[in-house]
Amino acid sequence: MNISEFKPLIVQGDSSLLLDVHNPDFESARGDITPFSELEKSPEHMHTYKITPLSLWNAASAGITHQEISDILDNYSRFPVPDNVKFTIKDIIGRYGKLYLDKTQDDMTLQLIVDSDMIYAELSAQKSLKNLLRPMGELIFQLNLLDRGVVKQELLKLGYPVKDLAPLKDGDPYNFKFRDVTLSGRTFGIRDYQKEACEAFVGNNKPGTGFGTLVLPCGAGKTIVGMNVMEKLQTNTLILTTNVAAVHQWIDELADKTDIPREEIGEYTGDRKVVKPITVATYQILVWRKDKESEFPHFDLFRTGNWGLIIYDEVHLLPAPVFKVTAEIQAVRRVGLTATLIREDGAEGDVFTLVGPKRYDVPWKQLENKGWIATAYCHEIRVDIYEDDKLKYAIADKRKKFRIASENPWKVSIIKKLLNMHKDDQVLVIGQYVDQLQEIAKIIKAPLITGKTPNPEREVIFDNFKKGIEKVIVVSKVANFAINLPDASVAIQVSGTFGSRQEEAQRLGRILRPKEKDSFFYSIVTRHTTEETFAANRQKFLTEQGYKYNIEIWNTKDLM
Amino acid sequence: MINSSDKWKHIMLTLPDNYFFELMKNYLGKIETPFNKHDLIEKLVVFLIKYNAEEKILKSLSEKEILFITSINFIYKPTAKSIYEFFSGVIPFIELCDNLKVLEEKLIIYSDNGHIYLSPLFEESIKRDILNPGLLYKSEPHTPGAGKMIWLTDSLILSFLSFIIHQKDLLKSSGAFKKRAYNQIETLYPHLFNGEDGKVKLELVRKILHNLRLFRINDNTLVPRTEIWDQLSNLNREERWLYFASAGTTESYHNLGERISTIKRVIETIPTTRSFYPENLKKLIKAVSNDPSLNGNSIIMEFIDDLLTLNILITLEDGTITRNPILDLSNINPDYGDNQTVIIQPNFDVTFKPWIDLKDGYIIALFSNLKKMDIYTELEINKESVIKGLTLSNLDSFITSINNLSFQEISHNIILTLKEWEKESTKAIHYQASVLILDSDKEYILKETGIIDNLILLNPAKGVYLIKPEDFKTARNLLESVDIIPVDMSQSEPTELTTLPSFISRKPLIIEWKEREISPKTENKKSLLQEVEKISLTKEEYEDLKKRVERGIIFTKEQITKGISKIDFSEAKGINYQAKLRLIEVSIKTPNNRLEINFVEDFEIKKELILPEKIEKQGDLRILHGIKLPQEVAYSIDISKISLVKRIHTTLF
Repeated sequence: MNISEFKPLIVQGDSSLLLDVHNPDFESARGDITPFSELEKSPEHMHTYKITPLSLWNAASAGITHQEISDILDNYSRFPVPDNVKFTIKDIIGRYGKLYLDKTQDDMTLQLIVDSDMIYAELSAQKSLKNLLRPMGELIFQLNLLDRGVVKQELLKLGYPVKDLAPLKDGDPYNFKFRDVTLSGRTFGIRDYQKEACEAFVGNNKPGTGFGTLVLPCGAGKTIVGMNVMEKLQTNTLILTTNVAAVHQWIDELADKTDIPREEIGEYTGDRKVVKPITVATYQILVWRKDKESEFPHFDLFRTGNWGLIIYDEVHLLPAPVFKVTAEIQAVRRVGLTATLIREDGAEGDVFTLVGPKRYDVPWKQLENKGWIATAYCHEIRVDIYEDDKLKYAIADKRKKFRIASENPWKVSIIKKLLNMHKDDQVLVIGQYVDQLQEIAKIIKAPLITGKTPNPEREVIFDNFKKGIEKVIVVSKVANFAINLPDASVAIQVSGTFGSRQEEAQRLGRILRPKEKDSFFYSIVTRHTTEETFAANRQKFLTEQGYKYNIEIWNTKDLM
Repeated sequence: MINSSDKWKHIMLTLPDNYFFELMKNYLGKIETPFNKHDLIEKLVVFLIKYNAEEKILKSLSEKEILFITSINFIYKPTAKSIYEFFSGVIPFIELCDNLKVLEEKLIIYSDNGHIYLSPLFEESIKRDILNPGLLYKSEPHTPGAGKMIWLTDSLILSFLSFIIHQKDLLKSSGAFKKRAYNQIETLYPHLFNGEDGKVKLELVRKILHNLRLFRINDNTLVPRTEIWDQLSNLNREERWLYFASAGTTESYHNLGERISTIKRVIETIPTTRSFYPENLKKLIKAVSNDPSLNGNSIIMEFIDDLLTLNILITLEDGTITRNPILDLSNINPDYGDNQTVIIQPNFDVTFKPWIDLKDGYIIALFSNLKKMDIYTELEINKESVIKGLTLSNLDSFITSINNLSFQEISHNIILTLKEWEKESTKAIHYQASVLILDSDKEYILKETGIIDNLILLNPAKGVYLIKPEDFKTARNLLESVDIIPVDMSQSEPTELTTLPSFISRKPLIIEWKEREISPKTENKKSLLQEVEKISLTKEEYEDLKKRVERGIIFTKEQITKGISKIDFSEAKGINYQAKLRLIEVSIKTPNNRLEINFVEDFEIKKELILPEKIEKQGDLRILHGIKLPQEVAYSIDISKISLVKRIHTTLF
């Protein structure tokens, strides 16, 4: 073997796969390994995939055998595939189908059938399953329909994936079609990757499909994918999203691109509580309660409507209390949509288990190369700490240090320079601290949106921004998610939530909708402070997706 | 140059007298006085030629004798003890000694300075026709398979360099790794150090780090010994790998040179087309090795286990062992022509390809933190790792290394960030240095001569110079040469430098692996015994001659004469206590005498070979004190407990 004969894949002993981006067989290898591995990161030269039990069981549920996986690995691997990897694949796939869930004559009861006495004995002895499974003999357990999700979750922890053959509940039918031309007069079509994502979720509509998470970059049209799923299933749908603005965007999008009449779309928020065949609600209203001891009154929304589909928009933000309800509604088809499945509480696993496994993921740069999302240039601008703050910074505690660095007054001068450079662009100035943002808004004479800005006022500002009346808006972290600003092409980040990778990615996402010009993302960081370290951490997700940050040091003398 | 015949004659002349004459009598019959040793030897030569002794003796050798002769040819400086150990003690020592004695009497072997050699008399024929390494190192033909990957690579050692210098608090006060460190290793090396096999591999790596003295302890942290890393970096891959492998299999830095020679020779001697059962492999390793620390069966077995762990050897399905066909010393860890062994990505991830060279990866490992070691090693650069790297090297070298080794230039944002970190980290610097303070006159000389310019770490103020502690001795010598003689106000000793031990590269053993067929014996013992019957002998003489025929030291009827038997007192047994006591006393007085004693213990007859030293009286008891062979340990026994005592006269053991 010489270098020109190198194959594209390196199979590591821990079942991770390194895929050489510059290899001629990169594309075909990527296509072949995707069904049984998860993309972990995709920086410039080498992408990392991971073969996990979940990814293998998903592959098994799609009918892929361990031999086929081994053959694919052998075919693309640069070096002999480690024996233990093949063994693990065989072992893990072998566990799939040993346990399956099926219906019983009683609608509220399911049965779990296992294929050996040994497993039956093991599960019977498990403390965590004691109150959930009722041993019935002959290798059968019974369980309550409502415990379906929890049981699956527990069994997964024990290394037993459950082949879920119990049919999902069909909700009330609701028929609609996509428009060829949208209400706003644009030609409308579903992109190939959006169709792929939808098909990956819906599958053949047989047992084992109909639940899962779809991961697509910001600006790639996750809402369209969600609507495509709705169109395929033609059923009553509950859509959960992050805030009221996002609720309105869903309603607008549905009305614009489908023939669903506006009056048949319900808004379930703090302002209005209307349940219709298609209902869009916020997570906030679902988890609202009078006090910590009370029940969550709005959880009934899950149970009362005869939903055939639940869409969890920005599923990485799914609040912990909703997990419990989600576990109860395992009989309903459900799809999670996200760009960044990173949770600071480490609950990504729960999201996969309760909403469903990752069914689709696509590297951001792949869509950028195909022109489906805007080409974005990321810059980190470093500036010295303000002279008066040096001593204050030196003696402050860690948290305070970060704040002093974040609110560096030189940042305002940089914003002004950047705005001058992007006079013709729609610009978002995004930050963490309201005091700082108020100051900036005042100096650059731009409207400010914070959590306290009333919805009608927000809508007016957004509307003006969309129309180009306003060229710049200053937004707090409320703009992190689900704000549809089609014309913004520049984002200036002045401060953020410490090292949050997800926030960084979501903020970049605000300017990724494809448009005629390229997008620019500026992150202003105070040099030689903790902010620099946090910034490096924030950028990890995006650099792992292949984005490069151009780092510049701006001289304070030029800012005077 | 002395020819083999002269050499043999010389050996014969140096034999102890009593032994010499016994030997001569066996071949030449009764020897009349006066005698001349030189004449006797010439007569013996004539006798041996006349009666075709060489052919007769060699053709009559048993399989066991051939095994012993072959082993003598392969063992380094063989002795009865080392031959015994060579056969792993499977052959009782007494039986071995008896066989050696017969071979000595057949003029096949002799002893000199405590070592046993093939006699020059028959050496040529023995080497040509008799030696049977295929029998000694019994092996099976084997078709080499795919083999196993060699996991001990430069990239593994580099990963430990990164791990050790970038992790804090790894050591116990004793200098051993804390449990926490082992836990981290399990996570960082998910594949390599997994399970029981993984533990064994890890222990081997620990020995490499320790025996090569790759790190020194400094304030409870480990710091790389630059001089060792430099020396290793400057070796070629083959030599360096031998250092690593050998350090992993030995217990001490001091054995390293010998161990390297052994491992190299094992690899070069064992073919991939033969496979061996462990017992035979042990013999082969004993033959290959001159390493005094590789003594004893259990130690050699541990060594074989280490070689298996290192994948130098591999076990086949039938339990036999062969050399890993992948292992090729001349092309260890092949690079497939790919010199760009580092991948650096915009997210500060660094990846080492498996064939990265130690020299190339050294500085990068100093600046990068290990994330995972597998086939490809994954590291990351972060502020902390860079600051740590700056204490051990400099940023320019790091950037140059990466630029040289990655297929794309290191990106602007990474360089800028690195420089920023460097700038920030150098705002406050801690040096460990020797301080040299000079007045203006001396400083003038220093500046004008530039005598220690390349040793000065820093010149923080007028007349103040910082010099690395390890360089101070050199600096002092240089300063003295220009009349600057600093008064030593420092109590600390300069750091001791370490060098790698050297090793001798010995030629591999050339072995004909196919077992040689042993030609059928010319069985003339029966006719010789008939000849013995014909002559009139005393009972003792008859028994003696009969024994000689049976032992094969009489091979022609011309040897069967009345006068050759020396009917001496050589065995006492049963209830004759006085006879036993006297035999022991005589043996103590005669040099080269050994005693075989039999006694009953736990209802079993036990046999020991003793070098008798003295008899001690304890009340009514007589205690024999001596050295037990081959163990060479003190031994004592009540003479009344001995059921049989046999006197053995030999120069061999």
